[in-house]
Amino acid sequence: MMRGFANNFLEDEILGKAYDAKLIKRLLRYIAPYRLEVVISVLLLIIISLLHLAGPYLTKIAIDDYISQKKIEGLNIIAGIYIAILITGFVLQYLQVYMMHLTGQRVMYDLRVNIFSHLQKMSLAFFDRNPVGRLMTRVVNDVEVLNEMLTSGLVFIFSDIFTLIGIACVLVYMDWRLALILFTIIPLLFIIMALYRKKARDAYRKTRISLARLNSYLQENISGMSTVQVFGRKEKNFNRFKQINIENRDELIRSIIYNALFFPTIEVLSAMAIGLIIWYGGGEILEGIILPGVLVAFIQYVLRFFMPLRDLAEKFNIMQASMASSERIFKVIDTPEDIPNPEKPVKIEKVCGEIEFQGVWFSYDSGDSNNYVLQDISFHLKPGESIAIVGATGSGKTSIINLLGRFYDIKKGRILLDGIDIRDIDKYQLRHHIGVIQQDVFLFSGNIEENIRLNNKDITLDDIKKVSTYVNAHNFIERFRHGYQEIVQERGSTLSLGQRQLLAFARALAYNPAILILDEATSSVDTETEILIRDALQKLIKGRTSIIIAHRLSTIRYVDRIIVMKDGRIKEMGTPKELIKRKGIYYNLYRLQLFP
Amino acid sequence: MSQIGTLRRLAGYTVKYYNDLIRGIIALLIADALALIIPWIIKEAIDLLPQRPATTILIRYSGLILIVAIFQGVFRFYWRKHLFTPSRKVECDLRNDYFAHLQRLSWSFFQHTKTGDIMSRATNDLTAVRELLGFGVLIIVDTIVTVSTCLILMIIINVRLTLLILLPLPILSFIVYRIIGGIRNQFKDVQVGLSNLSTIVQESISGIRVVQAYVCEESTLERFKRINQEYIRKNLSLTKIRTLLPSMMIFIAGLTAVIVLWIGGRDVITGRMSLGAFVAFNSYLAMLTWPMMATGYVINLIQRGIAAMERIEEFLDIKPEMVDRDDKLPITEIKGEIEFKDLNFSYYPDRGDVLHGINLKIKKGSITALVGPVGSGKSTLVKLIPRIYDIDGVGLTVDGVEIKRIPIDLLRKSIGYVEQEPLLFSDTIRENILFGAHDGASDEDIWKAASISGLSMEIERFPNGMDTLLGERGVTLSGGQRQRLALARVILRRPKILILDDAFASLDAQMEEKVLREMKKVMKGITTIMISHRISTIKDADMIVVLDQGRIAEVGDHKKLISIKGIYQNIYRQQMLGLEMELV
Repeated sequence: MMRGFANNFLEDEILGKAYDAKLIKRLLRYIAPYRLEVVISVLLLIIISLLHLAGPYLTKIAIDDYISQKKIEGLNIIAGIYIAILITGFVLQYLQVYMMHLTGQRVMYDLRVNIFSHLQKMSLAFFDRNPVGRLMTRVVNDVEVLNEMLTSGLVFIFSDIFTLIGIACVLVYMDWRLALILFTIIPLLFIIMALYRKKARDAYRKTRISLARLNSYLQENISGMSTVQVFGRKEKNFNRFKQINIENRDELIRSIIYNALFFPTIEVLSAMAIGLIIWYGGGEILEGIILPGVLVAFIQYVLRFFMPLRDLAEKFNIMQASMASSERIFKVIDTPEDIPNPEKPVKIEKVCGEIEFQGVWFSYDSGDSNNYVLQDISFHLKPGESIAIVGATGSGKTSIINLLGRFYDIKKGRILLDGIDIRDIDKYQLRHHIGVIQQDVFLFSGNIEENIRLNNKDITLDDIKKVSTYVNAHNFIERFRHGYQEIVQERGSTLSLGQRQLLAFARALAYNPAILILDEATSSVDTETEILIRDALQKLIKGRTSIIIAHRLSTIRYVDRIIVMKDGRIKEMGTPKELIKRKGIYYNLYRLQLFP
Repeated sequence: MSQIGTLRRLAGYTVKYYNDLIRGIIALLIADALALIIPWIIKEAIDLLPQRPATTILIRYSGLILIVAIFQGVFRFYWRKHLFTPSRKVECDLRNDYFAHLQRLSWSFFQHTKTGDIMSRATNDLTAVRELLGFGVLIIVDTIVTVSTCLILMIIINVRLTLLILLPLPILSFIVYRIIGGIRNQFKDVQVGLSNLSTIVQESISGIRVVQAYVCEESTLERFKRINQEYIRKNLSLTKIRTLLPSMMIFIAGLTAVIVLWIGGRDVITGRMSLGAFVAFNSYLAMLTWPMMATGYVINLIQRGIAAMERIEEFLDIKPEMVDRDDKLPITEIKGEIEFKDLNFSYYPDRGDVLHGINLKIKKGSITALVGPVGSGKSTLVKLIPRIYDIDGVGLTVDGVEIKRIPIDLLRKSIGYVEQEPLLFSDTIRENILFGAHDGASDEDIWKAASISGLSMEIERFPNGMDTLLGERGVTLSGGQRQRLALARVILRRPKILILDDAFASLDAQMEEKVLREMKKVMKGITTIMISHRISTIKDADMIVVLDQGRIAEVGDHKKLISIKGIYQNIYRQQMLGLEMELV
């Protein structure tokens, strides 16, 4: 049964190296603006490490110079210095951590703005390929992981290294012979660490994979629970879940063993070091080479030497996760803008609304595939003219309207607006003149007013009320308890389908575009709303160049011309009268009296 | 009260592994005890120095330290192994129970609960519970043992000094308590900020068409920046207070060391304490630092763990609705006659009915088609038969038996149900077709089912044939292929009642006709209910039922319905339009 799951885990869970120079270099570029803070932070860190080393040394002085000599006054001074060092250490450490977090947060902010604004520039083709959830993870979670690396991983590794070097120096300074004897343990330590690192990494990787497998199976079962239940698969699926669950558990238990072996071994090494101190250092004391205080200080330093090794594994995991995250982030940032703005855009002051398609070919596939959704489309719209496109599902109607605003770019041919190729116009300016109303009206969380205004501060509440009244939306909006301030939700049921339509009309009208593009909703609405929509539609297209994808036969009545599409080609085009004369598809529809 | 209940439940899970736990705790106790010996040996060794002992004696002391350390290491290994393993096992058991319970919950639960929420309880919350059991138990035992024994030994060495050190403890715990409370509040704030951030990202991406079409990129970015800024501000104010804790702990630990150095040093000078005792005292003090620091952590851990367990329990305590009633009848076979009698149905008691006064008798082995506009209640009606939704009253019978008195497993075993958007699993094609099959389906049967649904040619063309993986890491099927796979799945199931809920929507007319023709050959005698928007699909049905706004508007066969001016006639005309266009 498990055969099918052999390599079925989420791509996000694959982990690679813990240190990748290329990635780190790129990350450093984001930190560069805050280099002053980072430099200060590192300097503080060095001072803090040194301050932390002072304790055992002070103890040594206290023992050898004062306690053994029975000088109480000196002891008071040492205690005073010690307290002063502690307070300084406390303050500096607090400052350092805060500073590092401040930097981390700022870098996160910059990085998020960077990713987010890059995403906004991507074409719809990019969003077709990348599900929302994945992109959200990039902006939110992956950046969070990087922050953790900056504030908990990288900095502590620095501080640990300083501490270790510092301890080694002090030991050599106090008694180089004893220090050298102690250092014989270090190679052993390195071997154990290297072994552990390898095992821990493998184990970590395996547990991540098995957990991802477990979670994806769980998720699949939750979203498909009704299927599981109706097909009576409860038992079978439970057994499989149990199997994956147990595999995950055993993998985790295996990794417990590695930890359980590593940490006690480190402790044994530390005890070995102390044994060496007692044996060799004790001998030195007897020979009068060192004083007892040195021995005490040595013991305390050794204990501190082993401290940073305890959370080594955790730091390693943080680094590993952050490398994976940064790789994914950069992959998004590196995706080129597939619909670039022209370098020297043609200035357009006022748009008349003349549209011309000249031999347009289009395919959703990138590259040179021949999967053309639109083939050789040519038509011309005079300013203020309206046209309806009809045709079966999949005939390419929707694709036509995606092209005018450059949400996708065409493969062959030209699209002209007022005689200018739309690829020569600044795409933001171009879109500004086109009002698009989609089939499914997307609502942002917020109130109705905000959903009509769409963050455009130039549009006043009065404007909004005016356009809403014009498109017959005012009445139903006023009926809400909070009127224009009524909160709507993305998938909320506050608004009916018809009401959403009217709201979209108001949204488009508020921007007063020269060109209107409307993809009519297919779903049926109640008769009363239907009448309101029809009326609003008539008003909307008046005096505006309009392209309407008609799903309602009644709509065709209001337009100047009709295009009949089939299999990506224009089959018929003309005024309703002309088309009836031609006795083609339109005539057949007419004959069947399929519309009023 | 409820917290005690939660803990008791958790204890129930844990007690099973008492063997491991007891071993672990014993090993922990021994390791802790051994840890206490080492400073004592050091003390003895240092105190011996002024008497100028022979080097062999010093070696003996060093050797003793190493031996104790090795024993200690062995026991440490044991407690790690035996204390952490049960927590993993409990996690696994709890997850199994959670999964099994989810399986018994009804459709409405899954409709009202976000998948993310259900998942998060099985992952994040479960992790918190496991940490409570693993680290929590460990730290509690360790703290109690280490603190009490260290204190005893310190008192033995020097009572006055011990009391002096303990003096700042109450103040310390008060401060820690306050800081932790502050952290918790700030942490909630940060979570809110994070969720705001996620929301704006999610919305801006989902609504990217609108954003781009209305050129709102800049203003959206401004909004994003504002929320981003807000999140960072909250994070920093959390940092301000959170950083305080470790810094303070280090400070306090240092302070006690100073006290020992200062007061203890005086004691050594005045001869109240030996130098070795002074060193040992210092070591014990160092051993106390960690449990002291851990106390705050463990309080947090316990609170989080209990809160998480409560969240898991919240779902575990939901009573499954779809269970057999006590008055179920000992039926062993279903023939396939279905009758709706004055049936009303609503999803929520406080909202209006979705279905009103449905009266419908479906004969065994007949083909019934349901048509009607979007939202007319077609899907809801068919979902009542496999009890995806449960009715309140008694308005639905199968083979003349009230549906709720039929054993639910038998009922579902006898039904084949295909949704418009069928759910396939990330598994091989073979496993997906076998998904609903009763035992003993041969390879030949699988291929036959695939062939009936018009899929066998395509499967042959896949790299691994029937063993081709589906899903994220495998082949992505088109909508039409998915539907046909779901059809193959139900063909292999050989149900008594077949429900096709718009199951041909993604097939083109030609393919639909072909599959339908093939299916009819093998589906003889099976009661079939099909929802479709295509007149061509349903016109040969024995009975066509037109639903409108939750009521039955028209009933009859194609011939009859086409002759009356009504919804069906209207739909028919509209479809002829489409048909005309496809013909040109």
